[in-house]
Amino acid sequence: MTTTKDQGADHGAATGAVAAGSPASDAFAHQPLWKVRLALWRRSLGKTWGLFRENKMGMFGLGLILLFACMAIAHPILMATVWDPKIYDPVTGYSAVELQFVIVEGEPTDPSTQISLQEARLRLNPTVKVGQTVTIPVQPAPPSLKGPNPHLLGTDPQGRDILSQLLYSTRAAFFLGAVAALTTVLIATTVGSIAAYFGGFIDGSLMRLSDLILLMPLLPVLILVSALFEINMVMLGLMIGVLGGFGGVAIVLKAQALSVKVKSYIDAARVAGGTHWHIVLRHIIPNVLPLSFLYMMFGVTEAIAIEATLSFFGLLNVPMTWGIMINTAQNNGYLLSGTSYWWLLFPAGLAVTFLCFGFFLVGRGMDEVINPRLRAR
Amino acid sequence: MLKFFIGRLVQMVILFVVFLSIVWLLLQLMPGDISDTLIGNPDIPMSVRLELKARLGLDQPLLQQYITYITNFFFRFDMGVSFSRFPKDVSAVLLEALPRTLVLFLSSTLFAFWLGFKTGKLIAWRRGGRSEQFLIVSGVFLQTVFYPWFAIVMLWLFGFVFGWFPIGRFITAELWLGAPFEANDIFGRLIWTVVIASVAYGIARIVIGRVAKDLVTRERLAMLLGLLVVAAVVGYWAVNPAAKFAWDIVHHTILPVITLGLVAFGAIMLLTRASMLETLGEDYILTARAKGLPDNVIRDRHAARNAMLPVATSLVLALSFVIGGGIVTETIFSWPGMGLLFLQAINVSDIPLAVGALAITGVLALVGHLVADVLYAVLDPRIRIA
Amino acid sequence: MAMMSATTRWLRLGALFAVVAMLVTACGPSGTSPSAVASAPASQAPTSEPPASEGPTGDLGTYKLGIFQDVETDNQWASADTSQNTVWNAYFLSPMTGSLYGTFMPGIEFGPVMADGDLQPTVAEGDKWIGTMKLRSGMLWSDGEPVTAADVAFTWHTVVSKDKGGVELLGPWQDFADEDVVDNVEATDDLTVKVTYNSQPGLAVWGPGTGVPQIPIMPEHYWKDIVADALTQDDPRTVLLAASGAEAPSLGATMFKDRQAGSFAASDPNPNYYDKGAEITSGGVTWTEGPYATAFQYTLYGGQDAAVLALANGEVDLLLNPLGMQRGFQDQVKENKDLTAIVNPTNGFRFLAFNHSRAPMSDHYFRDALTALIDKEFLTGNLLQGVAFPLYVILPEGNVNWYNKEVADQLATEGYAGLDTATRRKTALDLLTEGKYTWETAPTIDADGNFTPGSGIIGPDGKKIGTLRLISPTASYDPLRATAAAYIAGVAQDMGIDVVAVPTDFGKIIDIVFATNDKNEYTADYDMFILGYSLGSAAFPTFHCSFYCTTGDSNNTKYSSAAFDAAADTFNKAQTIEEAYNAMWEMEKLIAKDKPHVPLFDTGILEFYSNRVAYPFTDTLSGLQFINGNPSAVTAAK
Repeated sequence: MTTTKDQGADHGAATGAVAAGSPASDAFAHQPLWKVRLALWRRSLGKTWGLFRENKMGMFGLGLILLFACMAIAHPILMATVWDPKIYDPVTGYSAVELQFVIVEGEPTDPSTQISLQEARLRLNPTVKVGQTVTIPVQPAPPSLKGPNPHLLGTDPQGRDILSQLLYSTRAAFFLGAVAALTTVLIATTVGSIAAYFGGFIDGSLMRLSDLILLMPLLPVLILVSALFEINMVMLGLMIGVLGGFGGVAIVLKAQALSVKVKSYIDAARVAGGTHWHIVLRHIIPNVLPLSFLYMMFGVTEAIAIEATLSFFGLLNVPMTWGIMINTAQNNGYLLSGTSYWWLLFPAGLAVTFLCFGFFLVGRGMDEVINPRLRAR
Repeated sequence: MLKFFIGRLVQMVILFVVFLSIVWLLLQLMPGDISDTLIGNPDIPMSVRLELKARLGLDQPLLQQYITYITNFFFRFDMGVSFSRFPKDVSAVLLEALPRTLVLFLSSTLFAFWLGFKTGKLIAWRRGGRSEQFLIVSGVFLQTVFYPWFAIVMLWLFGFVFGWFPIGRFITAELWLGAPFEANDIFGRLIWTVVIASVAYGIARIVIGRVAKDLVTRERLAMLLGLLVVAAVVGYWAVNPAAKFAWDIVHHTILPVITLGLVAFGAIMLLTRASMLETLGEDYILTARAKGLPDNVIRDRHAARNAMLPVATSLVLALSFVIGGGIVTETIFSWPGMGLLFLQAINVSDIPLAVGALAITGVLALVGHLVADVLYAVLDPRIRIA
Repeated sequence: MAMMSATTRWLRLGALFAVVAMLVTACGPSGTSPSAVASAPASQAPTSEPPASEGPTGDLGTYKLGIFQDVETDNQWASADTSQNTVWNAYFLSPMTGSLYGTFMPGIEFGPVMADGDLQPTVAEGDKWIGTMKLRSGMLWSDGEPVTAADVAFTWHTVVSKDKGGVELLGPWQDFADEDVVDNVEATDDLTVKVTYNSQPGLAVWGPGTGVPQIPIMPEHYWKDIVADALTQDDPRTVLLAASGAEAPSLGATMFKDRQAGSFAASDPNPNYYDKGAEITSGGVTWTEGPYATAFQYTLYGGQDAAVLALANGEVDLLLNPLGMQRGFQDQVKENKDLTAIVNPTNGFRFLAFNHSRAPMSDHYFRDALTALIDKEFLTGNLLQGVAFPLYVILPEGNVNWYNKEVADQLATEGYAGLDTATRRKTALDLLTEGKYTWETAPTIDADGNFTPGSGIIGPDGKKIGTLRLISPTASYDPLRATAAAYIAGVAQDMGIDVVAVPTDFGKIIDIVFATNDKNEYTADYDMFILGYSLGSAAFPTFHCSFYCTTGDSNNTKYSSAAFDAAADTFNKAQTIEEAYNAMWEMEKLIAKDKPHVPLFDTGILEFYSNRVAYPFTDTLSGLQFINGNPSAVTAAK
């Protein structure tokens, strides 16, 4: 979102010239065309990577994403090796330290083995009687390393391991982000390129559509849709992708494609007898791709945030995500408990924030590579 | 200019019709009969249902149904009756909540833009400091923070731990008990004061621009004018019998506005910075420097003004954020606006009300879009000449 | 028809627990209303006592209550009609009304509220039956007008159907009006109300059940013209419901003062409250009625979190919520010396329902086997961590006057209580085998008692039983019911029955299981579901029939039993409590045997209040919210 149309356009022109492979040097003269293309592509990628590496914040973002990726991978491994599914399953697992008490009338003389009737009724239910021995589980339990089943980040109000939920949800977040971002890029690139290349009526109608979708208040529309229809993660990802892809991103990519369209090699290709589709696929789309990739990063950010918000409201029927974790804390009355139950709120809240942060930083880093003026002097 | 404005307006109306059509299509796509969705609530008596069916055109063929749906909205502002608040009309329920949402919406947008533009301008001008690094990182953080969580932390911190602001809600019941005003009247008046003050300020700025040729004088006059406007607003409310009620509303408004505004602020600041950096490389800035103009004049009059263009367009992006964030904000701060209404309607399957709230949200987005367009035209000299 | 839609509306309203609301409004007016039995009519000198001296602990100031949804009307007609019959409106509006008879909490006793003396049996007069009630003398509306029998007659004539010249109000009003049996209600003199019945009325309509004796009395002098005007319009009901009731005088402890939409509602103490200063005894507790507060304020909060913070900050005294508060707040409240937490049994139950119009759920062998497999002690004690307690009968244990421990325990044993897992499996296997079920791979129990799970159960007709969907609320909505569904699916799977738990949005469950066709019959297009009911009148449990009678308003499982219908009929026609009691337990036995629903468990209702206020009693069925926060007797704490 930090890129304006003009900035994108400048850059596209530059990379476009390289990727199109116009200056065929001697070294490449006897090699098949695809090898030349590959080598050039690799060289340009290397150069881009070099530039990106200089961007500290971008690298930090990449580091964050890698960290989350490790977390996503770690979950199935841990579940298969050290974690007993009965205890550590993010949805159905359960374990709690259980304390035994005898219910007594009045104030207990020995608080470690006795509990007052009033307290027992509050902790358990109003049917308990004096003299009864009751078991009271400690949950949500604070983080601890002790015991046979340590919960490094504690347990939630239902006695489920927070760390396991956190790791498990990472996978869901990546999955959703990937679906949404790929859909966005696929649609936006196609729409942008087609609109730019063909112009006229096609351009007009596609851009009006983009205007319209840009105007759609995304979150409210998705809330309504989730109320009208039962939606799952794939559908949600696709919807975010389609709405994002037809909207703002398509407009930006069209501007980019437009700047490519006026280059002389497009004319050359046309003169050489290239069909429309050939030109769009071979020349325009490849030149729009770097910028699409940039928007993919922002797309991931948006998708993750939207999913978390919808599940925070309890509108999505999915087993476990970061949003559901906070929703669980809310449903059990821990939402404004501040720091005393931090493990219920902060891991999930910060996970959403940092993964979005990571993708956003990478996007920004790429933006600065693409747009030299933003680089530090 | 007028022609441009009317052109955009017509375009917006057309866009809105399309938007309504999509919502209509969604309703048609729902499993079951549309009558069940829109009027099939068991507490609505059969006779009322039949009357409603005719009113909403549900007994007609599909095309006619669609036309009635659109014309009902535009010419009668009729969106049926709310299930959960029967016999109230959807439009009546929405109109009641609208001013509260507008206050939140306008103030946080203005707050975000004002603060974002100021800081963005400054950090682009003074590149490289630690403060720049810090502001950029916090800007990005604010932009990517998980908003519901952020709002909860803000409410807990400033409402409970520090106790500076009320915990949610929009008025203090004790104060308003038996008050001679309806809260909505005060809301309306607050909105009008802000709108009138902004318009007056804008017009006066233009007049000053025409009259005073000297840049420094112009700046001073503008500053004076700003103070005058603020003084006038404060003065108007100070002598107003509703002053303490207005202040009560304002006091409740501050925390949600800051929370929602801060998140939008990050994006605006980053964009202003990027845009400023772009502009600062232009030749005319070099020319201005060569002329020996003071730094702040170059920054504010030359660079910032041009850098504002993309920022103005980004209003549209910010809008969609503020609208979505508004729902979250209203829920967490117990703010009884359209967003909260929308979610409540969803939770009790009051589809007509939910659809109505969405339609009004669409109107809000469109109006915002229109404002951004006009702003763009005013700011961009090329459009003005054309 | 209308009754049915009314019920469905309540189902929706109660969205949270399941079906809250119900007759909350209905009992509301009489909820706190204390019996004037013993005490001399306080109304004889309603204003003679200075407010300050009568409070045991002095002046309370404003009594501040927190609510979670807006009070949306000031019109009493609307509040007890389906349209605005929300518990939130009732919290605010029902303390303003009064009725001749009502139920007293915490003892759940039925008795005279504004009437003079106990309700006398009806007497035959030709083919009609006549009931007579007498108002206490000297009672005044808050505007100083006398309360008369004509007000009662006016109320009845307003709510009845158009054919009888009424406005035709819906919902609870229809329960009060009982048009199918009540022929007429008239005032024979200023204080005497005469009710004419077509046939001999049972206690269900003339007694502790809902009927004319408990109809909220409306002021004729205020509403007369408005009603007359409404009757000239096309849709009188809508016109009457839309009218403002802000200026209407009240009877109860409070009277309307102000309402700011989206923020708060407020009321003042009624100087003419009919029980002002009266000493009341119920359930062994004796106290003196106030109201002691100088004002009442109902503040809207968007969520429990903000509300509990406000409670801790001293901005509010008690939070009213039909579902009680979430357990997580307990720790916060415990640390805070200014707050008190209380827990009470609820008047409700959560259950597993079978679709009786679809095989194999229609087969009692199948239902019995599945019930035998469900270890409710394990489910509540272990899986639900003791927060819930197991249920074996429908009538809540908290309803002390009606609960019969002996029968309930016997039914629990018949309902497979206290068996170990091996016995459960054996019992279920035997039942299914007896019911001629077979398996692709049969579950087996060897000589040592080791169990091997089976798969692919085949019905008695030789056809394989496919996947059975068990619809339950999602974990984010109610973790208890979601956990129960997963557990039930698990034990059924072991037995080779392919039950799959399908967590579904609450609203969608209601849409599915209460779906009706054109003729307003339930379509019952599902296999099994788990929901909860919150029940109405605790003084006279009339809900069994509405859930299980063949024509019951809420009988969405299509259960039909002639024996049950007969028992329900006996209950409804019962002339004595004993008769009704026996009939009700007969119904319970039939339910336990036939299993239209399998009651699973329930939890207590948790509430918090500020130590600034004190209540004459806090141990009361369904908590303080059930009596609207007891505005008439709340005092400042010592």
